[in-house]
Amino acid sequence: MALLEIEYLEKGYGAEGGARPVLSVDRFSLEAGEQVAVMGPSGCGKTTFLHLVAGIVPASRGRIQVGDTVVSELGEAARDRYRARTVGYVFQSFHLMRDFSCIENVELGMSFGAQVDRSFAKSLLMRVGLGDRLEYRASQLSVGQQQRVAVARALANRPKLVLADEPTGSLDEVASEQVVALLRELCEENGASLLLVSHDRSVVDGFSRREDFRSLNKALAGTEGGAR
Amino acid sequence: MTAWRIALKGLRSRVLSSSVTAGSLALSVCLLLLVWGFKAEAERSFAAADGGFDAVLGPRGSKLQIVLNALYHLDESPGLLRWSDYEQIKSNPMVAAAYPIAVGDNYQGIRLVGTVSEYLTQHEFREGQGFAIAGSGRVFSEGQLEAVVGSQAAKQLKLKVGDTFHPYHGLQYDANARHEELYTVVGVLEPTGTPGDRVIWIPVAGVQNMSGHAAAAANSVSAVLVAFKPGARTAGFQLDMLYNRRGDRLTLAWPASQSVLRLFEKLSWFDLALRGIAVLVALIAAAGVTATLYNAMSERRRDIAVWRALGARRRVVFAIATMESLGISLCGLALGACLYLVSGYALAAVAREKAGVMLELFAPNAAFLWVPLGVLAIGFLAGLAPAVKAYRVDVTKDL
Repeated sequence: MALLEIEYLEKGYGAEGGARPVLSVDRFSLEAGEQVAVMGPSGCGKTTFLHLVAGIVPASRGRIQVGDTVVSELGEAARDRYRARTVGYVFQSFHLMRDFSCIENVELGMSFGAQVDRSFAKSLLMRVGLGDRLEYRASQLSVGQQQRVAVARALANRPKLVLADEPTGSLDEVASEQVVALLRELCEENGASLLLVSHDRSVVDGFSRREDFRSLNKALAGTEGGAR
Repeated sequence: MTAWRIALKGLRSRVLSSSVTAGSLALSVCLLLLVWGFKAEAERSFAAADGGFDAVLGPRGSKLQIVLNALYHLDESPGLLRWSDYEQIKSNPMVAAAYPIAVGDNYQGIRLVGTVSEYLTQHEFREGQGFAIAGSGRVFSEGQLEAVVGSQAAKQLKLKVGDTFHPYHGLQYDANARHEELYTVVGVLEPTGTPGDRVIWIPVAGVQNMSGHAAAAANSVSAVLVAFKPGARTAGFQLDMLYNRRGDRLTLAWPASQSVLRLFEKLSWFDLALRGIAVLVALIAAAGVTATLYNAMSERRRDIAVWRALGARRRVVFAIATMESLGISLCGLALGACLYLVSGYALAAVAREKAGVMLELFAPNAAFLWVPLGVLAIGFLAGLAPAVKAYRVDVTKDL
């Protein structure tokens, strides 16, 4: 059963969504528990695609459905609620709160949608190998450790869908492999689907289902760049 | 991680600027409470410290000076009135009690007040409360060189029953102005919380006939404390007419407490200026809150964008920013209340020591409601601009 279904999705900027969209995806779907890697060069619209699925920006046209929720029909406040309860997000630059401890950063991931569950936050940090650094500040961790905290935070609200935007962009090769493996394991253990975008072929190659975003995004036809 | 905790973390990450801003708010709170609340209590206490008298009769002159001298034992006597003036008002059918007051001498800077023994044995300085002599002491006998010492004066001079002292001429202590008479302490008053605690009481004849005093003093007093009979509602008007409007030799300060209140009225411009300064400090502090938080929100655009990406609604982000400004205001309020307590206790101690007036720091006053509400309102308003800035953060641009 599909968790994520996208039909004729378009995103443009300016008045009425712009005359020419920067992103145009006819069809895309993701099964519950499935893990998909989408590959594409920088600037081809991968981040915009994730923002649309996460409900951070509204679609200009088309339909996005996650579970029973038609995200593309929701107002901003409802999209925020949906994101807080349904989506986990891993950013390229981790985006941890530098003054927060590891455990507080993970708790932040559950602060806006669900009840804060400190024991679950602890168990996630133990799972990513940081059980002995619960009270360390993010600024006291290595970049690899920071991304592991970010992975734990993305799973903190028990999401159905985890979106990872270039999660290895700031890591070396060894750390990249570890973080991606951890992310995939945690998603599997928690029954979450994973939609990962990356420009790095070595990251994408490990996935059984891979998509080329240049093929997905029809708005790129005849252009060299496109959206972000 | 509740919104409150996130706001608290934000404040802690800028502890210096938050503390400075809260400190300036605290200063404003303290000033406002002192100027508004404390002053009102001072007025009430001074007015209540009328010693149970309705009026004071003195020589022609300032009512305020007569009251300050005779009731509060402050300031100098404006002059003398005849003993017959005392007897005349005492025999007035509307007058329940009248006690002469004679001043002009001191011991180690503590004022000697001459009066009649009935004042200490019969008069109630508050309803149901009369003077009481501590321990085995007694009230002085008329015509004897005996003294009863107020509780605070006894503590200050370390005087006890059986001790002796020589009075000194004048109200200020001058070692060369010693009188030859030797007085014996026969009693120490229990604390009354009135100006009477700060003086030494001796028989009025003692002051009148003290060696070296002018001959005219022998038949004169400084003032007469007057209590009207209950129900004599027109007594004040009639005596005011008699002494102040028809006569030209004496002054009746009536109602006694009003004279002091007029002093506070005269000082109202100063009070207004202080209030203005306090409000100005509050506004400057509010501007500090705005500047601090506005800059903080600019610096934290990325953090806010992350909160939003994690599902925080705009109103939650707005609330977090508002909580930070309210947090600073609450800290300022708490610190200001502490400052008020410290400075209030110090000022109350000075008032007790210098004027014998008991001030209550927590006497009910509108200031205790309006100052906290005002500070919180200012804090909220000061946090609006930063909160709106946080509300408007664009997730796609700032991530």
